[in-house]
Amino acid sequence: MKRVAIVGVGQTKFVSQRRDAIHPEVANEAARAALDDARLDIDQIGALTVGVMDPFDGVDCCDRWFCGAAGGYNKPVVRINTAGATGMSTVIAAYEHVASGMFEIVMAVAEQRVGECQDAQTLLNTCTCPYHERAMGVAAISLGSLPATRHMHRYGSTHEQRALAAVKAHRHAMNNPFAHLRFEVTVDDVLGSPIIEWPLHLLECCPRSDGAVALVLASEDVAKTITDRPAWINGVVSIADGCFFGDRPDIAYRDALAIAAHRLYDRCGIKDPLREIDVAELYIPFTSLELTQTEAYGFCPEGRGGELLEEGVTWMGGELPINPSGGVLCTNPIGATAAVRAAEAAIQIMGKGGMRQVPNAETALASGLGGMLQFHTIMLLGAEPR
Amino acid sequence: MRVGIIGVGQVRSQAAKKDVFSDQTTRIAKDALRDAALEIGDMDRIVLGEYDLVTGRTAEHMYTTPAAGGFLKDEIRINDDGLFAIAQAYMGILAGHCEIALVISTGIASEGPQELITNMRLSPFHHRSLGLHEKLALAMQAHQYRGRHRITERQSAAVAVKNRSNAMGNPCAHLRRKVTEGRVLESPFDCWPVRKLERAPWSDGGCALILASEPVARRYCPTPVWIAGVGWSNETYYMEDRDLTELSAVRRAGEMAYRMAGIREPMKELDVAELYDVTTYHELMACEALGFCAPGGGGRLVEEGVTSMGGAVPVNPSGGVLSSNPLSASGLARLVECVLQLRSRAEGRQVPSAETGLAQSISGYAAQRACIVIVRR
Amino acid sequence: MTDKHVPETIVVEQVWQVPFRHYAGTITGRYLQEFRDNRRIFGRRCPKCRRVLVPARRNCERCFTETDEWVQVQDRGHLVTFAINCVKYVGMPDPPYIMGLIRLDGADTDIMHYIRGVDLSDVDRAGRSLRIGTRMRAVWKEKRTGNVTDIDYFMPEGS
Repeated sequence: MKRVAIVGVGQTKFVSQRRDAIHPEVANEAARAALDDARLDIDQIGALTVGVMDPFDGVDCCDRWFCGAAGGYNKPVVRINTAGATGMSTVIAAYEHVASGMFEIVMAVAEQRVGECQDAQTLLNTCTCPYHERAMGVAAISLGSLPATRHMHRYGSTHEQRALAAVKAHRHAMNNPFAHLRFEVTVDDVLGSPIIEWPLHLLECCPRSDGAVALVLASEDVAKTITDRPAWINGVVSIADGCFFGDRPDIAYRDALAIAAHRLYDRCGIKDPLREIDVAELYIPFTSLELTQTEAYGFCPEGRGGELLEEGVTWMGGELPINPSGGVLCTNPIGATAAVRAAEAAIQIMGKGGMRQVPNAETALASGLGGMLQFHTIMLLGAEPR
Repeated sequence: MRVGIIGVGQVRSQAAKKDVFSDQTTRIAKDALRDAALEIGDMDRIVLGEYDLVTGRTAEHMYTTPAAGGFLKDEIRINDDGLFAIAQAYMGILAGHCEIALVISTGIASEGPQELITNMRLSPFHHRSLGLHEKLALAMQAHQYRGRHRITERQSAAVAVKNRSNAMGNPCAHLRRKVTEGRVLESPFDCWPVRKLERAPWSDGGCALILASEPVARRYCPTPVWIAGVGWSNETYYMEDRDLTELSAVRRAGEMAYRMAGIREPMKELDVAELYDVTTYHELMACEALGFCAPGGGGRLVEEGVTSMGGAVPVNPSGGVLSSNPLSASGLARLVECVLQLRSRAEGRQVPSAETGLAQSISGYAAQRACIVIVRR
Repeated sequence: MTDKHVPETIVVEQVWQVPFRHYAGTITGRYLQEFRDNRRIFGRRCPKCRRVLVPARRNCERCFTETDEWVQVQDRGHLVTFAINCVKYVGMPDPPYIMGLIRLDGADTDIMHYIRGVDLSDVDRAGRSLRIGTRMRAVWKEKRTGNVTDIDYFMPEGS
């Protein structure tokens, strides 16, 4: 069993649709950027894990097309797909490649080109059960709208509180040159934007983005020869809930996520998450989920996620900045999004955050989310190995 | 530390289950748990090896994960043939990420047009507009291979005769009727030059294995089957830029697995092999890539009975993919058979005193990807 | 409902119709533009291994290096391998049709395309008589749109 660190990351500038490049080229850019960041040659990479969801890119099993250009030519390659959590699962799979002792240096590459699809909601609808849910037009946005309504009912949260999550995300994204959406918004802008699925407005929802991200992971034997500030992977937890929304005890409270978070805190000896975690890059695709997730992580009491936003705790400069990158509300290449979370968290630990750097970030949390709030993956990164 | 296999489960392969696909998943999972005499609560992690789109769903593991007992458990899905999930599960246990993992693949081919779905895997710029699909590409590969090495039709038919006969002893096989050389060589062409009886059917089915770390394996199982070697590799997507006459991803994966298992002379050190005979030619190519014979020697190998029951290294005592092809579970099923063989639980097709077995899987266009798992008693 | 109720098999039919729009980018775009505008086929050369890759692509995977040179190749070459689709599959063209790999003169990789000009009334006879190595030439469409199918098919030279 080896300790593992992220020693380099690379990402493409995310946009609605790259018109200048095709899938292997986009993946290649991210891979090169990660290798440059780690100052490594492709020959030093022992294996690849690749993450992408089907079929948003318009090509099923797209990884088979792009993994060669992503650096996997003639190498061992494992393709991961856990719906929205794919990006994080891809990094976790790479972590296991190294922690097992089988490989010394591995690259995780995640890509998604949602812009290739002209009607993503129709596609997202196809993940729903053809017997029970598909005809209802249930799609991804429902995983934000249904909890929003419930949370308002159960805890009295307000539209304005939710909107603050969008205001925060957009302000943070101004510091991130890779972010897709880079314009500031006010609460009025958010609540004045068209209603997509009540109560959620357009600006409360993630965009559809096109791009790729790559992370280089190395074992403790070589990590410090590659960089003097590796981001050590100190804890990893994945959890799967049941698939039907209707089976959840109460969708306003992210119980499966809370269980996962507490498993992670137990394993890593974290007793006071708000104080002990310096920065978090969380998979929050809809404003309502910032409220429910911060409660599940124990950053605030149950039901009080709205107040947490009002108090500025999770803004840059606050006690625990959430999504200094602008997060998923500003950038969402679905299958890659959770890998971007891991990359951004690693960037914080490695001190490469530039204008979005949280000072003295030594412990970072990153997460992935997949299915109808079904799959949660969490990773704890640190400046020191635990 | 080693990783052991302490349970296997499978459902019979057949043309169409006509059932909710994830209900099959539960049957498979329960079969594996029953075999291991364990409960679902004993599993730390569910590792799936399954495809989207094939059953008309995306994120299909939303259903198969809970159906496999994944509720509130750690899970991960490998989106490829199920044998690749073994590689990941193996590393996960060695990494200390979990102690017991259920590796499962539910393969349902009957709910969608599989050839068209494989066409959707092609680059829209280079190949999609052509009437290309995986079956046609495999035929092209078979054609080039047999031409290069002068493999005869009779040698190809011999593989079908052998494997379909072996399947008679496998109650879980889809096709359980012998075929004669004459019937094989008279069967119609699907994709010339591959005849219907020279290639795998589409099946519904699935299987699972339970992996455990060595101390846990020893606690729960009197005779764990150990994973001695694992290897996997891939080639470029561009068929145009490959030597199709050689399964080079299989060769590289084999080298990696042999190295781990300390195997230098496969024909001497292996007792049984389960190879991914998606066509008869692909069994011969796999034999060559894995060093059972020299390149081009695959035809003579089967002719001389080396890979028959009773031969030096019986290949596909289960009947192989030629007899059962439940999509993503086809590669995983190769390992299930090897485990049954090593446990002497393959009544009707038992290879005597089988101590070391090799399971091989391929996926993608013309075997772009390959995975090998070697097990030992 | 009693246990004696024998359920019929309920079946839910689904067809996915999801539109996609793919931009070819600068390299693949130029490759296909040459098909459309000039009936020319271009490969890209890798500066490290010096191979000319067709279809043209930005990256040489073997060398993990960007290709840097456009090299025109001939629209004729020799047949490397082929197979004949004999069965009608949903969404696929009507059978029989031949799909083959052709090594164009000047290229270091093959191109995948239809092959016509072969009598397919007896598929097995056709398969046996079409020799690997046969010289092939492209037959271009009059109306071209910037798609690989701007080449209608390849056919044996001298046919």
